[in-house]
Amino acid sequence: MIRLDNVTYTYARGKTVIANLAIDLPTHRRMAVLGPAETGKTTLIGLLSGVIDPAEGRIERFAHLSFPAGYSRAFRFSHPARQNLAFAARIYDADPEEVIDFVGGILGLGAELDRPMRDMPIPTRMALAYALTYALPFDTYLFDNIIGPGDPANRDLWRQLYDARTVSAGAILATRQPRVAEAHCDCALVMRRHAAPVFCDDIREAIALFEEDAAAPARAATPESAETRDQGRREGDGEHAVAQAGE
Amino acid sequence: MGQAYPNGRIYSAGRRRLALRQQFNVLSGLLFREAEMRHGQSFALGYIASGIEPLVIVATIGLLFSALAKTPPYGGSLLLFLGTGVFPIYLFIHTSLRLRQPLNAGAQRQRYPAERPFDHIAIHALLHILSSAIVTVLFFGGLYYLGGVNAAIPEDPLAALSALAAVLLFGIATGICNSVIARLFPFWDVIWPAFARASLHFSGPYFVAAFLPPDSRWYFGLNPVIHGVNWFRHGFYPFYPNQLTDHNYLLGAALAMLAFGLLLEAGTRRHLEERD
Repeated sequence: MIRLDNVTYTYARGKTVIANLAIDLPTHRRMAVLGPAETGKTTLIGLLSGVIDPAEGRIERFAHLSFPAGYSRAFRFSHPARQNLAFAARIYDADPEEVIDFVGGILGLGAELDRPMRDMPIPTRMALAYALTYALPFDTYLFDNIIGPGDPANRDLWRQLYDARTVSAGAILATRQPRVAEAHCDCALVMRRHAAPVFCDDIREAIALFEEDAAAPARAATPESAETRDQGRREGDGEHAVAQAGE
Repeated sequence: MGQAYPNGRIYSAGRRRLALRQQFNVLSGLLFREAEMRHGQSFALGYIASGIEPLVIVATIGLLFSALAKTPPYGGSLLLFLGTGVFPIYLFIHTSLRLRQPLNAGAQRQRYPAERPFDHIAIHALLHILSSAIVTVLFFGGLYYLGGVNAAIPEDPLAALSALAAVLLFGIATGICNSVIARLFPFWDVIWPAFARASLHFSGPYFVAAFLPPDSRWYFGLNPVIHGVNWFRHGFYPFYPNQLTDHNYLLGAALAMLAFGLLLEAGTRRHLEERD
């Protein structure tokens, strides 16, 4: 469980993204953070993982939370990938050899692991960062938007890793695509533009609420999605529709 | 997929235990990583490189003084007198330079959330203590065994060590201040090394502070490092004059600087985080 105690996060320019959020979040379930753009989903993931600190309030973590999946800032690109992986493994209490074998195994990397990371193509670096996330043992894995990087050929791989890890661990996945939330999660925290976030125990309930919010501002919409369950309420954000079409 | 998923050894430990364990993991992980590379060199070479500077200073001043055929300002050995001045001063200079690293913008961004800034400070300070201890022991040991200077083994080791500890604390505090100031005003990273190295000459490596004329002595006394140097020399020379050896002034300056640095860090943290 994660207990947020009146957490506020404000940018230096004064824009408040998260205001006085007081809520308990489950860490043993697969939870989506579902909401339209600019409602603080990424900020929330950052706060939970500890990458950023709240301006006010406290976050109590009763579980071992991961960094946001695919976190690659901490890599030293002048060092070999092997050394970077070993460092992450040591910090997060895993066996360095096991982690290196795991990452090398699923990505099919061999000699590349011993060359400086700056020689590695960028897609491989991203894949490495995500593979590292799955390799480390956490109670709860945090995801911002995606469970694995780009390449459609690898989609099954990430899905498999996600499913395997979430058998025994929890996950928190920030997304603005109800389809993604439904596919990967069982419950959701719905982030809303003009109201406090709402936790829904059931993912369908959460998606209904999200779509209600999206439909509320009577704006010009682009009705394109074919697989809607509720055609009448579905006309949402232009943005949201584009994101779905592009997926 | 045949891979076995790595398992944590503390997967379901209690919260306090988890925090302790994580702290230990972060510190040991950082220690190994930072010790591996220094100045882009392997462990041993990097540390020898960082010890070269005080040795060069001792050698050049020693050469200059012998060329001028001056007698040692105090005691029987010129090299020992210079060494007892240059080593504590360089301990301060290098600490204040090196402790800028863990808090600079790059290091702040390039970290896992589990690493906190003060873990980096602790590890850099620890490694710095180790490397300077090695060089200092080699210098004074070498002077004793090879140079035949019996006074190179301190009469009062406790005084010598506590002097070094106080200078080190002052250096760490200054380093923390420097790192924050340098993030606010980047040109500080160029100013401070020049200023720190020039301060060598005002900290009394080649003169006895007590023999300065009384008028100027007061101004020299404002520099906390000179008190550290004299404190250190008391460990070697039992009858060293004790003017400008105010232990409390040095410790007070170190603690004040430390408090100032930590407050400055806490006060500007959010501003800097968002700007970078």
